[in-house]
Amino acid sequence: MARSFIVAVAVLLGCTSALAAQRVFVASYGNDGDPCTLVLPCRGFAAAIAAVSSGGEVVVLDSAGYGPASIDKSLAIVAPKGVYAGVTSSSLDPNSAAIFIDGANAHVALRGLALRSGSGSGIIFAQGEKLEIRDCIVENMVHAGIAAIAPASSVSIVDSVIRGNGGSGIDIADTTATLLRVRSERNGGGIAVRGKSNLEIVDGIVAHNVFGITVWSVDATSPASVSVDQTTISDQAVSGIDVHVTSGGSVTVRVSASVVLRGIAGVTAVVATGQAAVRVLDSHLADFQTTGVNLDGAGARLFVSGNTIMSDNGTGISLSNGASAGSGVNNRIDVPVPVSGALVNAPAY
Amino acid sequence: VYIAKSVALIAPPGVHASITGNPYVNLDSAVYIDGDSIRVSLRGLRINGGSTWGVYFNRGARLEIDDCAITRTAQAVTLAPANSEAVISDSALYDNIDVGVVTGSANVLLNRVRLESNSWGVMVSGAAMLIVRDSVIARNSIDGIDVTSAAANVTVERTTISDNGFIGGISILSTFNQVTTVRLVSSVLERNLLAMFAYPPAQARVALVNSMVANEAAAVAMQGPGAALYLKGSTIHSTSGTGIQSYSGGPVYTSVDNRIDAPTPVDQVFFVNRPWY
Repeated sequence: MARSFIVAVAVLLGCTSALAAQRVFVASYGNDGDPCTLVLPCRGFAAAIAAVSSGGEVVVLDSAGYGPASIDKSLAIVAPKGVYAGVTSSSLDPNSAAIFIDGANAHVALRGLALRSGSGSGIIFAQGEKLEIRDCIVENMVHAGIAAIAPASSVSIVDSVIRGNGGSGIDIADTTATLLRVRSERNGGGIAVRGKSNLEIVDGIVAHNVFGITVWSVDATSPASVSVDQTTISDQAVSGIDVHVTSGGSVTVRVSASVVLRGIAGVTAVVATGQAAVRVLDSHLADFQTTGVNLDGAGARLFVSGNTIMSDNGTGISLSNGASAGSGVNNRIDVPVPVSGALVNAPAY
Repeated sequence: VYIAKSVALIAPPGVHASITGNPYVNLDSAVYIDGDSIRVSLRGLRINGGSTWGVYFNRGARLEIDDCAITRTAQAVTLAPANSEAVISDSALYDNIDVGVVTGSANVLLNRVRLESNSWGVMVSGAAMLIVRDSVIARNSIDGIDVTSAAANVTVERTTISDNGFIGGISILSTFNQVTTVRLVSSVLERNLLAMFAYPPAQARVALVNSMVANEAAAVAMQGPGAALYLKGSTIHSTSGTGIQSYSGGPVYTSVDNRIDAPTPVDQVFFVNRPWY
């Protein structure tokens, strides 16, 4: 029934043979020797990608597995709702992936894919300009779920689930990215940010990972900025958010209107040399084992306003080894040791 | 598709309905809408390049776009008719060369819309009444929202505007004898610049209500005596610059419940305290 709808709509919209290369099709009953048209679809993504023109679309017609794919040009792979489009990676090589994207200036969109139970990684974005991942599931990979490591690229991950991967659920390096309604759960690390990266996380869940959100800046050429809004970060084995700055690096982390629960600590920033600005606004941090917010090092600066910090254990806010606080006010801290170090009340304007 | 009467084009969930435009048909638009007082609904479509315009609303009373993706055009949605209504919901307008939405002078609601990786996310080019709610405007190379028109009224609610380049998140240029109003309510404006330019006798009024603005340099810049800022319950951050920078700007009306975290919190700013009731 779904196929007949697609046929009808495609005909209605003038999907003629002259546009076949702009829009190609795969199906469980397809054959890679066919031209990947609506009537004669291909069986796997690899053949369809070879047949589609740059900027075109690979459309999945029915539920099946469609095999790993390497993408070297701009295209969209679209599995409509109600269609299961699975891909299993078979290589143990950490540099291999179910979907491997490596095309200069490529703009790639992936929608509705299920990358499951394989080896290697789920999606590696090694080279390209823009990547959109929507309505996808990436799970049980040996290495990373999604590695967005194409230099100076733009990445959007929306309405997707990344879980049970041995490495990072999402690895962001040298990239500007937005994660909207993304769940990263039960991975080695929830989200790792490296290099010169900007990351915005909105309305997400980062839970039950070993590490929650980890941000590294290892030199002055790799400043990182991470913002977390309306997001639940809970039940990591270690900390909710970990910031590490060395060798003159710089990191800005803002958490607002979010919840950080359990784990050893809520938010930690350790600065050897360099600087870290940590801003926690209108959020709730609770039930951690040691510290709600822990800043360590002379380059670490904290701003907290409008938060509630509650735990039966440890310290609410800890500032050590020269870490400074230009604090706001209106925080409520219900912890055995509310504050270790000096908070400064910032003026109101 | 050329639409000259009230109609709904519907692709239900589970159906992939894609349109690639052609520069030589339908006035270089994938969907061209042109009919007096017509009401048009587009649902579940994917528009993938091929023409300058994705959806060009030339004449009509109301346009609804639900659950659509529009990409690789120059202007994803262009709203030409004055006083018309347009609602775009649960849709993604991304990777368009030029603009996500050009409002013209329409009454526009953007609800749960992603405007990403265009040059401009939204261009308010007429006396539009624009509401943006629960949306993301990110990684547009020039501006998130560019307000160049006189007498526009823009409200942004529960929306994240981040990582937009060049000028930044919201740019307001008010000229002529007009008032431009922009409100941010419970929203985030980050790694952008919020800039107001009001050249006399024009006025630009910006309200930040329970919102957060953070930038590397000047978080909020205001220029011209007609540029006025209203602050309530907001936080403003600048890592290395100024929280609010005024260049002969007008007053900042405040309820004294805002926090500014910046090396230089304010520069040449004239505060007017508003009473509590």
